[in-house]
Amino acid sequence: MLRKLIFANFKLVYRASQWLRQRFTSTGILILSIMPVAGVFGFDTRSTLSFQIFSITLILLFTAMFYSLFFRGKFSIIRKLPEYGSVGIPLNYTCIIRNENKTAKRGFILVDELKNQFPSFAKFSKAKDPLDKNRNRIDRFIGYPRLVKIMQKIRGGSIKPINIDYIAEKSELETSIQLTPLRRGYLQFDKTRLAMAEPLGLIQGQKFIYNKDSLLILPKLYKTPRLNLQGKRSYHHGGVNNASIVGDSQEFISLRDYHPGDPIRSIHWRSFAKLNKPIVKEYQDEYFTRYGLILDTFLDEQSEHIFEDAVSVAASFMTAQKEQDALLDLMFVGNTSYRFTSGRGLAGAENILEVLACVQPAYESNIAEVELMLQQHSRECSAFICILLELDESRLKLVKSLSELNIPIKLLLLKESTDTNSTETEHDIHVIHHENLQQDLDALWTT
Amino acid sequence: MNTKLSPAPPGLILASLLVWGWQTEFMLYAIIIGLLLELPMFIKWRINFSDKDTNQLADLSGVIFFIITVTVFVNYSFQGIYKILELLPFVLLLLMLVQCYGTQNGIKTSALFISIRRLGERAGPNVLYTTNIGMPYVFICLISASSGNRYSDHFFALCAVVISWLLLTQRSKHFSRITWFASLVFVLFFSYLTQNGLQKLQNDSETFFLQLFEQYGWRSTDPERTSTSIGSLGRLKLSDRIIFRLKADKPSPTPLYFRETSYSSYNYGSWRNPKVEFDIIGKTPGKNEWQLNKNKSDQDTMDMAIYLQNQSAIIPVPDNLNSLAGKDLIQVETSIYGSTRIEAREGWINYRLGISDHDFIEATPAAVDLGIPLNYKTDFEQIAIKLDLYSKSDKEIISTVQQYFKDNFYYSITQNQRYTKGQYLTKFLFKDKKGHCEYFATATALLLREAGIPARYTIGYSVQEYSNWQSTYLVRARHAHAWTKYYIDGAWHNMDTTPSVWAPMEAEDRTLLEPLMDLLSWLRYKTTSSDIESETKSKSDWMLWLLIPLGAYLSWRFYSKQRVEKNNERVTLHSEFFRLGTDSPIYPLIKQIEQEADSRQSGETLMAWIKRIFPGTKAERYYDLISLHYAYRFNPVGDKRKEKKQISDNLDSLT
Repeated sequence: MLRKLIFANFKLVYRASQWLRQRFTSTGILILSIMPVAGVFGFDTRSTLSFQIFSITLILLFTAMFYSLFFRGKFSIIRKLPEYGSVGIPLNYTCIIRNENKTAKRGFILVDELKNQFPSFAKFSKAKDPLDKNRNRIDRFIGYPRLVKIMQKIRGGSIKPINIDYIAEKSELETSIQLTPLRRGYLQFDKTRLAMAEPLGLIQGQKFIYNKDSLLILPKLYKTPRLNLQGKRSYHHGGVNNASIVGDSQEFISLRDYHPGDPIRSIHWRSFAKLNKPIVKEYQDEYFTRYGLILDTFLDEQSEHIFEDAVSVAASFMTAQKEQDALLDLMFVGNTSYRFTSGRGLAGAENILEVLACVQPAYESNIAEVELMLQQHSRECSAFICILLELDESRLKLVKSLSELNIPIKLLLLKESTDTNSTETEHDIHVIHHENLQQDLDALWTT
Repeated sequence: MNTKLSPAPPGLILASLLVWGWQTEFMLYAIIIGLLLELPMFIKWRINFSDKDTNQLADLSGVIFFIITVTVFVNYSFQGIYKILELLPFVLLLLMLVQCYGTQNGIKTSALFISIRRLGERAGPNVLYTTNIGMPYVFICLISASSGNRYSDHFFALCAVVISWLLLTQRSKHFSRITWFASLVFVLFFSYLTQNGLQKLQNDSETFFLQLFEQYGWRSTDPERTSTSIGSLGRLKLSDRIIFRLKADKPSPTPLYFRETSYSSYNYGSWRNPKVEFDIIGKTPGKNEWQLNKNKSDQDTMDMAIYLQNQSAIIPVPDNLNSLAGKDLIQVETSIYGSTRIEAREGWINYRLGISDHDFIEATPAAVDLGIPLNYKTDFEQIAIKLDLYSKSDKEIISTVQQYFKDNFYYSITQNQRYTKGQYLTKFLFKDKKGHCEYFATATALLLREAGIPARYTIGYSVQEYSNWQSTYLVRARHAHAWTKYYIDGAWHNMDTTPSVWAPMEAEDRTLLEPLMDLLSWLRYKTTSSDIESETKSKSDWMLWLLIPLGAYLSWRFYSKQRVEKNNERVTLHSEFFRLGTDSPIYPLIKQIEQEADSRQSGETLMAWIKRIFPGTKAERYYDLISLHYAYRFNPVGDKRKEKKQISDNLDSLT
């Protein structure tokens, strides 16, 4: 109840904080902070002369506020965005600003703004911030720093303000803006803010130019080896479109690495001799290797960043796979069951990344549906990689079902803590820790 | 918004420090600090303070601030806040020095805020960044200077100059300098008017509220007038706040009466005196003592502590007061109505009361001390007739009146019935027959007057709550009392007709928090009061108490440091292990050969180098030596001392 009440006031506090940050220059904030201090010490005008400093700062801010109301001008903005971005990697895009006024403008700031949305209380209360353990109890209980983090994530990126020194009348200026994406998915550009400080340099007059755009941010990728599961190729009925492209027919298609089950006669001996590893010739037929990648999306007690790690690991596997090697099915359950196939001329890595960029966690258990999907498609797949977010009873059941299929499986468990338990060892589950994600991935194929 | 502050323009910090020095009379320090902080402009070298160094210096500044706060609070009580304000530029000096002489050109937010420090590097650039504290320091100097409270107009002008100087560097480029200047003139003009207005506002509002309080609420004891609660509806409530403390080795069997003043004329719920003149009592030469009656000497003394809200106040004193002594006292005055007024510092003060066998001389009765308001005249006549007072002697009258109130009236602090103004006492005497001390004291005084005995209404405190723990009488606001003084046989005597249950009844209303409030009051008394005579403040002992948390903190820091050092020792040993072999005796030889022949190429092994510069068999004589050196330098196992000796022996045989 108390937390709900506090949360209800957050909107006000957050907006006030945003307003302050947008309207005031750093010197303005300083003057604004000094004013109440001087006011408190100067409350008794007979004890100190601090009330004189209070008077000066008060009138300064009033005057600055009055001036800031008169920032006028007509501008237009054109944004030139790249096709994709990737989480955590700064990208530059171009922005063309046109001064439609009859006078030149100088000394203002251009800030491109992403759409902001206040989270619901449910989302706020479920969210966890790994930094919370370093915060004091009050901050943890009230949770305002956590809210700021959530808001940053909803916005999805941080954009550096651009100082524009001069723009002539009726002319255009092209400027490069740096955006650092903080999350995957579509970032919604909402408006562009032009801010110009009044003569005293304390408060900025503002002008908003509404110009909506969106940019797809792909998940963060890690260095992963190619999938090399010891799975047998499976028969795919002729009706499968893929079979016309991949298979064993006498029409030669390409050379590829040897997989267990490939006939000896398919070995291309010259390449074998040259590369010192078995290489086979590929022919068109209905037999081919098909891997299934199961992504656990059910988020219960875990922090959201564990889910992000899982998506990144899935994306890394999907992109590491060479298209000609095998087909790769990405399977997950959101509102409904999804299965996307890539490789061999079907969807490319970028398509799968786009899918993964938009995958959202499910807050209600969907493991049973995953199991169902597994039953439907297990015969077609040569091997499975399963990325789990936790190891509870329902997931253990899924793990057992996978084991009973008698095909190679690789079980990955994303964890925050670095401890391992006997259940994980018993089921040959590879634990990937949030802190050592890349190292754990590197170690994956050597263990 | 760019949250990072730009540096203060050159010279501004010195200017603001000079203003501070001028106002607070720390001019020499101001010049030294100012020059120290501006000097880096002219020198190129900088010190590379690590984050840990900066954090520790920031912590040290915090500890200094704590020590200053405790010391100043102990010496100056709450007035010390302005003293702390005055010393702020010293407190922040360390951080400013780190900024000015450090390579970071600012202070990381993690040094300033522990919460950010705990987050570490993961805090993110929005929270963890380096900021310049030059401009805030300028403002702190100005606010600090304001505590000097001198030369108001000059101070305003200097503040205006410093702030304008600061704003000049921040002005918007879009506008011309003329616009900026005009804006600034406008701002300063209206600021000047505003600061004058604020002063006037304070004066006017104080006058207004004082009048309001005077009319409806609390006011300090007025020797010329007191309003009673006679006629007030509801329950009389008085607070548990401790007004004064009286040192006594053991409690007295009967309550002690400490009067504040007496009043002579009554009308419509108020007791008044004619214009009261106070006589200044001369100080005994060479002592902090004021003798009220030069002819009498003190027979006993009592130590008393009272909390003064103002520098001048009427204090409760016993009737037989003979002298006052205490270094907190500045001046002592007395009036003919028995009030004693002192001038002293605000807060808890201690003084010693000298007691003699004679009561303090109060003005002899006048006609006014026999006056009865016309609206009550018949009521008191009726009672006097009933008690047959007119035919009795003075002493008989006294005992009759005492008995009359004892037999017929009882004590109550609740009044629910509304009566017509001017009839409150009538209803008390004839209908309700219940009331609080003001009813009893007033009725007694007027009845004695009716019987021809001059009487006065006296207010003060009944001293009766003894604290064994503190060996002190605690006198609270609810112990405020009223009684009657009557004049017979050439002297004034006390007469209290209020039933003795009054004190326990009023104590029933005390709050559950009373013990806690008492403890806080005691702490405050102990930490802020001083000895009666000694110039040395007894609070120094209490300062030690306050320094306990500081000591604990420093011990913890010291202990932590020890731990760090222990860890370092371990690391050192470990690293020494890895660096073993770097002291191989072969190195001087290598240096010598390099000088004589050719130096080693980058990545060239010793063996390859020797083979290159000594073709043929000459190189072979070095092979064993190099092998030994390799073993000593790179093999982590083996007896290193022995290997080193072997190299030395081999070297000796070579030479």
